[in-house]
Amino acid sequence: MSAVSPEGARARRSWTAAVRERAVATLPPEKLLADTQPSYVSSWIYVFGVLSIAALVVIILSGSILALKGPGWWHFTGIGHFFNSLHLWGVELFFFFVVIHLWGKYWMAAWRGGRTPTWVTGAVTFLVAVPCALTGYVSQQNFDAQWISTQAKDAMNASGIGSFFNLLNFGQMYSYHILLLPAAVVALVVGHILLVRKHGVVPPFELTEAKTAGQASDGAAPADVEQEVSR
Amino acid sequence: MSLHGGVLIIPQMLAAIFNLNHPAHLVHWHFIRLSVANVIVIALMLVVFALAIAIPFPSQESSGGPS
Repeated sequence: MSAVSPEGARARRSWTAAVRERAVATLPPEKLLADTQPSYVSSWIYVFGVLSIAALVVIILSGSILALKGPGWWHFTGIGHFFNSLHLWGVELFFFFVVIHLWGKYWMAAWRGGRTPTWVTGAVTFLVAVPCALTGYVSQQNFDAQWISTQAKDAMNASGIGSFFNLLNFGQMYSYHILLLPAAVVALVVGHILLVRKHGVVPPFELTEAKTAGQASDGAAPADVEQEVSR
Repeated sequence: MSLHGGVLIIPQMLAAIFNLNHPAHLVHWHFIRLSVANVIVIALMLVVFALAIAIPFPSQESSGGPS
């Protein structure tokens, strides 16, 4: 029977120590904040994920300022118009980049090599971002918002969710738009990034085929292409 | 409305080029009905997607940096 120091016994009893040890074992610091990437990442198609995140940062920052100042400011002042436009065009670019990112990952079959959760969190992020944008359009406090909400409510009612997702209820839509749905999008994006860090970026098909000639392709990168390049 | 240091000049110039004061033009093919604005955005995404695959990424070797 080996002797256990009081500090060691206390650390084993502590749930914070257990969580820390598990987190570090799952995602070591050198993987969490890597300063190198595999050589096959040197392609423009790998850029659209981080562009989507950059657009999301612009959306959150401009949206926070809009929430602080209110509709009178964003409708009737020059600087309010500017931040309103910044928010809108941030959303336009977010969807532009996310769609190209999704196309790229779909044609790479980016769920290979145990990356199914990474793919699923990315796809669900896109699906959650759609109602996030819709609730923004109906929260503008103008005739455009009124038109969109009166048209879209029929689709919601037809699908059966109109009883608890009422597009004509500004307070409810505004809460969804500035709290519930953005929180869901950010949480999904954080989870997605952590999964990318854990499993790594999916290698191209030809590399996996070169490694597993005669075997089923599993999406794991061969050792020789894991030669890293600084980014 | 005053120009507030020229902030509104660019939107006015763009408005002179692109007249948006009309209902959206639509592309209608069988059951598919899209506004021209959305068709342009979809086409742009396809073009950018193709360019992202076709254009080589600047490598460190070509930029003269350390390998």
